[in-house]
Amino acid sequence: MVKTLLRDCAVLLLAALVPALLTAWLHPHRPAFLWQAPAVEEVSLETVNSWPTGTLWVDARDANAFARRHVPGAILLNEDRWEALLPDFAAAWRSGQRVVVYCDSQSCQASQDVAVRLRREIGGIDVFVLQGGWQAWEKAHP
Amino acid sequence: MKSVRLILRLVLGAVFVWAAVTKIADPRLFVAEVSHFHLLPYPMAVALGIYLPWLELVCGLATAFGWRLRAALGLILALTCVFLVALGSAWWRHLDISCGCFGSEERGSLGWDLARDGTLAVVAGFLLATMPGAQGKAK
Repeated sequence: MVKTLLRDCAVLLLAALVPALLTAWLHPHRPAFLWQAPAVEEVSLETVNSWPTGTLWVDARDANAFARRHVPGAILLNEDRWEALLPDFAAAWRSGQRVVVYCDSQSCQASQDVAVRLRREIGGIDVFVLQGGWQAWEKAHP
Repeated sequence: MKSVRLILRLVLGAVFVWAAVTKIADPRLFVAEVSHFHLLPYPMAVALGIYLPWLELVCGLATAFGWRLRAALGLILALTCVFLVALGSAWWRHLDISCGCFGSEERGSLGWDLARDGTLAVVAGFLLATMPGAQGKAK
């Protein structure tokens, strides 16, 4: 009886292992195996678009770049003018609403910095960083 | 009694299948939810975040279809107990996080999540305890 139960448990555990390994290998949204968690989770534009509820975009670039073009509805918020810009963000953000921060490209750090600071200053905020930054968005919306 | 067991089995299986499907769709988000609990080193959170939804799916289907039922119910009971411990610790530490139990869309209070997981554990325990031959074998 116990032997059968253990064997059945092993079968079920193994049955889940095979697709899990395939997920880790092939899934388009598979997570990276890192030794440390990224400071703020990165999400692809595709993922953000798949979210049903309204997302608040935060543009962490400078004001000139923001003025040239930005994601529709995005709020300008960067570390250079944090105190001046934060009220605009606070007015636009609804509690529980997801926030996605972007800067110029994959290599810029501003979006991570702004996202970390938002997380630190606003408890419980669901904040993400856009993979590829503004370049990724512009590529999808030429 | 037989029909009550069947209904509970189907409901429990469906809940686990649904919970799994919502997470399998975007493992990256579920891994983030798991890491927000701060209970595991990040690489283990990644591994668990990928494996757990598939285990839920297998156990949910096995429960609904009655395949290796005792083992499936045992694993579901173990999983719900682990979830209860994780949720309880998050609640104890006043973490303002999402349970992640049904993917990232769902965001309720941890108290509600605890009550829901507790109910699932009770249902799995009831089904296990009332399996044909369960009492006889226990003696």
